[in-house]
Amino acid sequence: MEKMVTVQAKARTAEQNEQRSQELEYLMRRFGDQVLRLAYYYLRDRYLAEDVAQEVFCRVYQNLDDFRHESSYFTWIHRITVNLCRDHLRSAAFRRWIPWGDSHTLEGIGGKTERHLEAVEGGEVLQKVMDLPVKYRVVLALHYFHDYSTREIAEITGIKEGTVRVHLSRARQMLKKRLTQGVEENAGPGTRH
Amino acid sequence: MRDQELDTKLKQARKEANQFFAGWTFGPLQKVVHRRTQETAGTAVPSRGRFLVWTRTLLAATAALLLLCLPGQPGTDSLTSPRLRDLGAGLNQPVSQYTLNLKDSTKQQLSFFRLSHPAWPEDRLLAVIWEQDRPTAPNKYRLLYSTTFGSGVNPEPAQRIQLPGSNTHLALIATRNPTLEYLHYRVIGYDGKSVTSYWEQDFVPGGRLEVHAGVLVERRRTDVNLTSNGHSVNFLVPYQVDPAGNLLLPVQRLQMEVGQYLTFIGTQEKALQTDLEGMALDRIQSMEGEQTAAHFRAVQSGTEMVELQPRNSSGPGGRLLIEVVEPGPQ
Repeated sequence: MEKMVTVQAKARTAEQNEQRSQELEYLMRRFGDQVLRLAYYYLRDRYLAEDVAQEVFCRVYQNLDDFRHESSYFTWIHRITVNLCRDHLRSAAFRRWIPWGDSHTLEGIGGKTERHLEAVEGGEVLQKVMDLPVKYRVVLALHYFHDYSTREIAEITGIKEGTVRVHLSRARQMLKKRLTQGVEENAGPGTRH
Repeated sequence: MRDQELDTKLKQARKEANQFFAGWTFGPLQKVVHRRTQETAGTAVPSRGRFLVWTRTLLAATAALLLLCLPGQPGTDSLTSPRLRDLGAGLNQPVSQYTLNLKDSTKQQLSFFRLSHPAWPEDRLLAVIWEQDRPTAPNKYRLLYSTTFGSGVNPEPAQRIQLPGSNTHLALIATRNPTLEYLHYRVIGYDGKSVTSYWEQDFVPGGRLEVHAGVLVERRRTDVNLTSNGHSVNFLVPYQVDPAGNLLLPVQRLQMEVGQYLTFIGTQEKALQTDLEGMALDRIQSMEGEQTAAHFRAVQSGTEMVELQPRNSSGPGGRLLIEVVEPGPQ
């Protein structure tokens, strides 16, 4: 009798695991690319972003049973991503991973960045966006590149919607300034009258 | 700049982002996640902090274990210690071994061991360099250096790098992840007593390394047109300072193309001061911290004399003539 109960329990566990795997499969297909991009906006390193994205879905898998649907899958998965990225940015281990010792870009220090030899974002304007401090570039990218509303960004990042708007506004100002500087630099001193 | 202009720029950035992310999808990673979830099903995934502590503990234990188990007599071309062979059950068999002559008349062994752990999606590699402690105890071996490489990697053949005028040599140790095409490598030097790291890189995308006349040429994939073929090239020039304070370089002149990089690599104690005389090279960054190097980028064709002076040396220093040419047709 006891043996039969054990077999039934095992079968039930296997069935649950299978169900969870299918659910995970769906979520990875649905949100995988978004998670990858979000992680990239934070970490600015595609290989670390891939590492984080894997970890996100491992955690999703582990916590699927506990997910209470108080928020959407979208918010839940994005929140996990944001938290993991922040952990990475905070950790000393992450700093070690940055090739060439260029941690300034991640600390949000303005000015020209030197990201030689590492994968650099294509496109002049995108490069300028990615050179913004992390808290500004993330909201800017999510809002303008992925059409996330300020409310969605607030839910994902765990900051107030008003703060998101402020960050967006400051990000725009900062970007405007940097783009203008870029134009002046390109024009060169000899061409200005 | 007006708001409208900025909005136009942001639309342009959006297009650039789409282009940048095109072809980079989560799809290939799904399998890895499935494997990880299957492997850890029913067990808690350790947090990264604990994970790192565990990893360090494992490495320390492994290194200690190796030290204990190496007193046998090794062969010159392969590791033949019976005690080490017997370790197969607990510690995986060495997967690859090389004899390194890092100093004339001495032999060091480089061994790669696979490390596995349930929480790791794939095995890692531990590289160990050890040598016979000849003068004091001929049957004992001491650990000179150990390092680990990321998951799913295979060892690449080790290479010795010789600098003219030096009787101690450098070695290039590298591994490659054949699936994800990452290259991990270390350039290490030996001063007759200990091994020190000159340069370390991990996760070099699409990395290729060649050694020409003591200069390492690293190629890596880039995602933008830093060079027209989507690859960047970095010339890694190792240097040493001999006991008399002379700077030893592998070459006296080097030809580069515009857009390529030049990096001098040495030990922390012998950091370099560098001066440029021409306009062909642009200094990028002098790095403080674990690695010591001077970085330059070739920005225009012409010649450049790089003056090099070790900071803690009163020796004569050295110079390297760089000829920068326009990139050839791809």
